Amino acid sequence: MSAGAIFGLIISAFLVLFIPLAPMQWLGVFFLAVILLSKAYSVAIRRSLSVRRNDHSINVFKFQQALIEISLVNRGMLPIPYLSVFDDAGNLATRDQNRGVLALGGNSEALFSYTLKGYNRGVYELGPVRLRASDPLGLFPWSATWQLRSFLVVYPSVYPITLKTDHGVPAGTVRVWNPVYEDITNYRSIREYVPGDDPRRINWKVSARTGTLQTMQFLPAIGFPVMVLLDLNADHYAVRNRYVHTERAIEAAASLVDAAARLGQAVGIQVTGEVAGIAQSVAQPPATLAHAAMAAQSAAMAAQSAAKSSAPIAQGFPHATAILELLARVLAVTLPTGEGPIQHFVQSGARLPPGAWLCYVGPTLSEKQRQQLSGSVDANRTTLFYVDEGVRPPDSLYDGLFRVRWVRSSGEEIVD
Amino acid sequence: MTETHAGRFRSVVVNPSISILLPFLFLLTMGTTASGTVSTILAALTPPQPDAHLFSGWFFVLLLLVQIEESVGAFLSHQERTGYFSRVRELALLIVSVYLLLSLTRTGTLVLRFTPDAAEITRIFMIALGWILSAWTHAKLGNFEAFFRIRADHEGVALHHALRQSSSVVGESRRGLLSVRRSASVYLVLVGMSFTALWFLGLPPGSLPFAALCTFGVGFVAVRSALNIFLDEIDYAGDGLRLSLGRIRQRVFLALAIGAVALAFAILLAADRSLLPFDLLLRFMNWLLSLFRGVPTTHVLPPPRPMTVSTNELLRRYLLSRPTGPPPPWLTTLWEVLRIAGIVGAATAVIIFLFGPLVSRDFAAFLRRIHPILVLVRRAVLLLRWVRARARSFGALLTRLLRPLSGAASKDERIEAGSRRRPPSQSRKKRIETDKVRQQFARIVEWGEQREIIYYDVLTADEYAERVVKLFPSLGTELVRLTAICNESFYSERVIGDKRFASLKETVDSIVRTTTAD
Repeated sequence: MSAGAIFGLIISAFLVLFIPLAPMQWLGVFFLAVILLSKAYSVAIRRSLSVRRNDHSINVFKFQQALIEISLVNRGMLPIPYLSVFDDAGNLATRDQNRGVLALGGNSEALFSYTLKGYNRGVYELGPVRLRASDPLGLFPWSATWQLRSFLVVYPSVYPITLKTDHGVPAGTVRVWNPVYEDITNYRSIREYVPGDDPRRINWKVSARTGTLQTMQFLPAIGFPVMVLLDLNADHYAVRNRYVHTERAIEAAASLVDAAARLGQAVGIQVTGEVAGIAQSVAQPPATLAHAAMAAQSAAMAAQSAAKSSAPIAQGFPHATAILELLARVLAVTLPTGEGPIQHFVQSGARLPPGAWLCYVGPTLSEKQRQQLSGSVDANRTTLFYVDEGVRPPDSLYDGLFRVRWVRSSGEEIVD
Repeated sequence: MTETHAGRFRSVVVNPSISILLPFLFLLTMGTTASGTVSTILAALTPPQPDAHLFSGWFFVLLLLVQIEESVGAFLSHQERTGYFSRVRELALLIVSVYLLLSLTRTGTLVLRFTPDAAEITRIFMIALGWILSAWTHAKLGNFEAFFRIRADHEGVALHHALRQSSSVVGESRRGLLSVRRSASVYLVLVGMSFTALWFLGLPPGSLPFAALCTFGVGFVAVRSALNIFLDEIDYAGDGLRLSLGRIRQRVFLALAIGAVALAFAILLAADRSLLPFDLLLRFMNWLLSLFRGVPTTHVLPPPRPMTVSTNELLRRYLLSRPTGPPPPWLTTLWEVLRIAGIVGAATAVIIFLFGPLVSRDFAAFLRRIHPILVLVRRAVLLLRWVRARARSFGALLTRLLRPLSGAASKDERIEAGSRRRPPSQSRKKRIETDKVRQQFARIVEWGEQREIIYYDVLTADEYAERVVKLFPSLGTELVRLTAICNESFYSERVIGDKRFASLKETVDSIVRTTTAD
């Protein structure tokens, strides 16, 4: 209670208690009633209000709009004419939409929503929610902070990339026309025997029934796991437009992961970069189950940030989403020259699964790095996605050892 | 930006009402209370004067007039608040004019007629006090209208930017509201303390000042809550948020409900007795005094009985105790010179102060603009437009309620209903032409309803024509031409022209000539 209100209470109480004059009593009772009723109103609406977020984690791609929704419930009978809501969105551009004034009737619920657009990839923390209201006379305004946190994960932009699907291992998920990759678990039809057919494919029962040799046909399909090596050693990039080029490299890597996942292929990644945590941590003790869930999620994210910035080759959209989240948080870092994913990959002695493609994304490799790489992987299954830093040689689609594709520094077509 | 009905209502009725009524309510109660307090104190300190009631009624009316003029007239005539000096000038001119006018009704010699007595000077002082309080409050609330105007045309981010551009207006407006709120609180405390002190001194004020004090108490709560609403409005506007009239109305109703409950409590519980005896407080104070060592044991006494102390008596005692004897000649001469110089200087200052502005360039420019009349006319026109729009809406609502989907509307009613749906931005020529087209369409409807093809307000010309074609297939070509012209007239901004209208009229004539169904 403010000093003015306390002073008014004391004066009013004095008049009511000791001054035996009806007008002064009248005045004292009136002010006493006004102050106490207003205070009771203010406390009642404060206690009857509850706030919750509808989503605890929102995932969007860069430049995509995210809808943030906050539910406000008034469980009491008293209406709240003005309720000012402000959701702290950190340094995200909200165009002042993250604040508003609502009116809540008794026993009613209102939805406060606004849209955000992530202009830069990353993991952002939303909240807390600050509310401000008062009694109708405005004598006892209050403001409260609800520690409702949620996370906005802004993935890097993903552009369409066509992956080369002419080599792989049989029995995959990508259909091809080359009968070499016939998948014997995927029956197609029966045709007459042609000399040269594998005798094991002859269907003897059908041959006996028709009187001629019949061969079974299967659908050819291949699988090609993809391993992406992303070089984010800032020292390897030219100083000019370094940020733009590293971001473009990350977007190319994300596009490769997305393309592989859409084709149903297993995908993995190895990044030389720093995985940033969340700017603000949840410091308050969890008050509800939702808070506890958010705290657990925050802790998991923090643990993930401390882990190595790589993901093994695995299949499925959840795995691809985890890689995108990793790419949302990774930052370029300055390492000794020459230290990069190629060196890590070669020195670790890791072996790619059969038929796997290796995609390197980053600045142009040095001769030494190329030699290192050629000694460890199949050059026919390796593609180098070089970031075009303005020093692109004229004959650049094949560097003598590997196939090369160039990542454009701008535009919707990310590679040539 | 197209002004909505709600926006027009707000700009025409609500905002001026707030600007006029709020200070008026505040000032009326404050001025009356101040006058009551001062008159009580003066009445207690001076002997009763038989002529005191001579102008009392008229001056009370004058007191009200002064504050009404200050609240209403200042807003309408000046729009922006004028300075303190011009206010004081108005005050002096008004009081002198009214006083001279009232003095003509007196009896006696010419000098006696125009010589004010002590009671009249007291009342003039009270009027001046109310006036000065009014002027001060108005000056403090002056920027609030500018804030209203800025807020009326913007919303969201634009409002945020507009207020940032006019940060001085917003800052001054907020400071003014806070200042008025603070001064009202201080004033209430001062008056309350004065009344209590008078009661302690055994000089209880009369019933009129008490009634004024109670009125001021209610007015104070109302004004304070209104100021709080305005402050919230400014704060929200600074965040780019504009409060709707509905929310403000809801909050005002809730505030009134709380005030009504408090008022009911006050009426039920107030009585001429306190909850605790006053002796209890005295005993407590005596006990407190006894706790201090070295303080002689005294007793705090209850309030003394009422007594009247005359300042005239004090003055007489002082004059009697003064040493007698003629002053030296040089002192007399000096005093006379100073007196004449003072009178001449004061008279010159008063003349310059009162009538100087009348020969200024600003006043001449003001006369050229005739600003108050323009403002009055503009306000009146806006008010009339708003009343007309409301009346039309109300009439439409009544028509809809009384005649839901009935086909009993007359031709004129249909034309009127169509006119109400017309976009407001059409030119006069377009409006006249559209009305003529509606008249032709109403002929078709009348003709159709004679053949039991009922027309509903919700139907478009196309939809009604489809119903007609079902019964009169041979009229298909005419009806297509008719609806094409009607649609172009009703829904486009273009004028269809005389040729097209003649074609329409010819088509309608040919249709209504058809009397038998195919």
